[in-house]
Order: sequence, then C-alpha cells, then structure tokens
Amino acid sequence: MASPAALRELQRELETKADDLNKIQKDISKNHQVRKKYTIQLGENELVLKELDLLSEDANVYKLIGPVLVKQDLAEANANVRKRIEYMSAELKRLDTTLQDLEDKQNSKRDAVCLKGTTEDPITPGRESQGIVYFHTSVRA
Amino acid sequence: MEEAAKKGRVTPLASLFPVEEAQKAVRRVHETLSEKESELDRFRGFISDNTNLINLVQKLPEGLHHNIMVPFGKAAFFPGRLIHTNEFLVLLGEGYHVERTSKQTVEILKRRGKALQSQVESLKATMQDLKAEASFFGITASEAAEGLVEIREDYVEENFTERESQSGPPKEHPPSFSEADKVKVAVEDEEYSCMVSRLDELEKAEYEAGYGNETHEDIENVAVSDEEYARMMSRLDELEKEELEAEFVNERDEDNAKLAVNDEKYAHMIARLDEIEKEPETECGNERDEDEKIKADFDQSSDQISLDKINRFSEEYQSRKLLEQTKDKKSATEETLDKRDTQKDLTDRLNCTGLTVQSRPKEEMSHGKGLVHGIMKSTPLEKALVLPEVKENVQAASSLRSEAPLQDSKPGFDSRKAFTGSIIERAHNMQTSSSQQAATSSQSTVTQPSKPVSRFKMQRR
Repeated sequence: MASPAALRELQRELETKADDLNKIQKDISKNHQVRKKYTIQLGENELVLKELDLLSEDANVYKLIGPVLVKQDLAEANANVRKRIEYMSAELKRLDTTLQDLEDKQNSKRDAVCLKGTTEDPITPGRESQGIVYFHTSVRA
Repeated sequence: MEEAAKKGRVTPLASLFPVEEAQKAVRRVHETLSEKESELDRFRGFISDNTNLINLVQKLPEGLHHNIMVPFGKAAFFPGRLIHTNEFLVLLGEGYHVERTSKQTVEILKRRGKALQSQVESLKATMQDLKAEASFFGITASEAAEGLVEIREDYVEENFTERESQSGPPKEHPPSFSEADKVKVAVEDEEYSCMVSRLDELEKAEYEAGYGNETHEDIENVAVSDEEYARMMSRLDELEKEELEAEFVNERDEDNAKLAVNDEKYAHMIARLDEIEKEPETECGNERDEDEKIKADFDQSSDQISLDKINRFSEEYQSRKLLEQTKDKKSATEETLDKRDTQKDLTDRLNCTGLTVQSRPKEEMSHGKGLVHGIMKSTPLEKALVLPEVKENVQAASSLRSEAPLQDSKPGFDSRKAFTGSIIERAHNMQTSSSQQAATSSQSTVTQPSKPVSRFKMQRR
C-alpha cells in the first residue's frame, strides 16, 4: 500500500506527463495548419506558372503589390513564381520532418503515461482514470 | 439430426460489433459526409460563377463602349462608360495579373472550370465511399441491436469444395437448411462426374471414328452416340427435376446459387456435347470448307450463346415469356428454313434471340441448323451476311468460352464431321432420334408448355 504522499507524487508526475502530451498535440495541430496553408499556396503557384507558360512573349504581366499594379516582365514573373514554388516545397518538407518528430515524441509520451497509469494504486482510480480519459479524448481530437 | 453431426459456433453479432460503437461510427461518418456536401455546394457555386463570367466576357466586346453605372466606394454609383471592351486584366493567382483579349480570357476561364470540375468529381467519389461506409455501419448497428446471431459450420463434402461454411455476413438460416442443400449438391455432383466421364468416352469414340468418313457414316456415328445422348439427357432430366423440387422448397437466393452451379455443369455438358457433335464432321471436300468454317463458327457461337443463356437464366425465372417467345421464333424459323433466301431474316432472328434473355440454346441451335443448311446451298453473299453476325455473337459470349474447361481439349476437330444439331432435352418425352429440322422446332414448341421452368432445351436433330 503506497502512502498518500507517494500517491500524490505519482499523481503529479502523471499530470505533468499529460501536460507535455497536450503541448505536443497542440504543436502537431499547428503544424498541420501551416502545412495546409503552404500546400494551398503551392497549388496556386503551380497554376500561375502553367498560365504564364501559355502566354506569348509580348503579353503584359502586372503584379498587385498592395494597392498598386506594377508592370512586370514576363521572364521576371516566371522566375519569381518558380522560386516561390521551390521555397514552398522546401518549407513543406521541413514541416513534414518536424511533424514526424512530434508524432514520435507524442507516442513515446503516451506510452509513458499509460505505464504510469497502470502502475498507480488502484485505490485512487479517480484522478488517474480522469487523466487517462482526458488523454484519450485529446488524442482523438 | 444433421446438426449434431456438424460442428457449429454461434456468435451473437453484438459481441463482435458493439451496438453503441457502431452507432457512433455511423454518426461520425454522417458528419464528415455533411462537411463534404457543403464543400460540394461551394464548388458548385464557383462553377456557376465561372460560367456566368464566361458569358459576360464573351458579350462585352460586342460594343465599342458600354454605358454603365460605376460603383464608387461602398454605397455609391455614378454613370460612366466602359471602354476598351476587348482588354481584360486576368488574375492568375498570387497577385499576378495579365492583359488578355476576350477570347484568351475565355480560354483561361475554361481551363479553370475544368480544374474545378475535376475537383468536384474527386469530392463526389469521396462522398460515395463515405456513404457506403455509413450504410455498412448502419446495417451492422441495426443487426447488432436486433441480436442477430452468426452461425458458422464446417462443411464436410469431398467433391464440392466451393460450398464452404457460411461465414462472413451473418444469416438467420437454421443449420439444417444448409445441410439439405449440401446433400442435394453432393448428389448432383456425382451425377455430373458420371456424365463428364461419359462425355469423355463419347468424345474419344467419335474422334477416332472421325477421320475420312462420308456423310452417311457420320450419321451412323451420330446414331451410335444418340443412345448415349439419350442416356445423358435422361440424367439431365433427373437433375432438372431435382432442381425444380429444390426451387419450391428453398429460398430464391440459394436456388440461384445452386442453380448457377448446376447451370455451369449443364453449360459444361452442353459444351461437351456440342464438341462431340462437331468432331465427326471431318474433311468432306474442299468445296465445303467455307461452309464448314461458317458452320463451325455457328456451332461455336451457338455454344456460346447457349452457355450465355444458361447462365443468365439462372438469374431470372421468365419461363412463360420465354415459352411464348420461343414459339414465335420457332414458327418464324420454320418458314425461313423453307425459303432459304431469307438469310437476313434468320440472322435478324438470331440477333433477336441473342438479345432476349432466353436460356433456350436449342433455339439458337435450331437457328444455327437452319442457317447451316441454308448455307450449304447458299451464295457467298449470304455467308458474308452470316459471318459478321457470327462475329457479334462470338464476341458477346466470348467470356463464357473460357469458362468451359472442356472446350480446350479438342482444338483440331473438324466441324464437318460434327453433329451440327442442337440438343433438346425434354423432361417428359425422350425424342432423341428425330432428324428433321422443321419437325424438331414444332416438337420443341409442343413440349415447352409442359415444362415451364426448364432452363434450357437441347434439341436433337
């Protein structure tokens, strides 16, 4: 029978572990959002590139910078769009690796929490079960 | 009872798929489905905007300038003029605009419309999948709620390995039900194997007797095989009777499954028989080579048609309709057979019978027969008419050719020697030695009413 003090210690540890897990999950969701944005922009840029390729040499290209429409050279515009596409693909790749790391960390943390949960004294099922339930719902989200 | 003999496991479905979870899954899928639907609506809005824009862009260059009300700020307009009506600044994305004419703008917009359409298609596909998922979950949930039970039993049958235990989707059949089916199937299996062996013997006999014979010898051979055919047909009759009984006892689905199985066997047997028919027809003169080919094609096509019909009929029970139709077609063919200059009509009729879902291969056979005999005295022109017809039928039922395993064994037989008749199987009368074409057709019509649910008829010529 573990003493109440030890029990509380374990509880606190469980809570901290659960918080870490939450943080990691938030990071993952943020990562997802940024990735989504980049993906959309990448798609748009690819469409623009396709249209620019279809243009003849003497067509006028303008870029909207703030309230100003600035005339641009076709070649320049092509180059800019291509560079953007490259930059965005690199960003996406970076985000992918970060996401992978976060997920791994999340899994390991989850296992640790589960382990902690099972080794807890069964007399006090309230907090632990709450923690684990909380963890389950957050994972699902 | 038989149940005790078989091992069985009874599992309540609720244990496999808990009711609440299934319902939750249904709800989740429904939510995602509604999301997708709203996205679909958005896409539809985009597409309609795009089409409106295309129309506008096409209309503007119609005038040098247009008088319009120009928006000014948030809530004001002033009258103005729209000039340079053929110059458009098109937004390509990412802040890039390009000057284009009306036609070029329309092209850009059309490309955008296509991209939107493809997105809509993919979204629709996803929605379909989700719907299927939702329905599955719904069914599982309801079944589990009802307390449906899954019963698994081992099937002990040497010959017939296809009819394994009824696993997978749960059914509410009592165990003894499946036993009776299996027993019946076993009985039919034995008969089938007997008939197969018999057919093998017949094939060998006729193949050996095939080379270098005249036509009358063919008939002799044919007469010899007649007896064997008679025996086989009696066997077939028995099987049919059994199936008829089974039909009225069992449920429809099981019937169809079983009958499909039996039909396959019948199909194999018919294919076998036709092969045997073809064998005796070896070389009988080069002048008839073309005819032979056509006949071979016809026989093959009629085989295929018959196989096709048999399989299709196992799915539908349209006995009365078929009887009437066959009667009509039969009388028609009788007339045309006599005339012989009605080649086209025959092909049309063959077409008709090919199109209608009739499992009466004998009709096709008799048609084929009439046409065949017509061909023997026909002109090349008629053959030309016939050949494309044959090709159609060949293509239509080519898949069944591959199914019949017995076909592969005899690639080199000559159609001339084959018995180019169709085989009519009669449930109650055995008329195996009839040799007139017209007579057989009338006979077939007579016997049809007596056996409304006969799946196929093999007419002997």
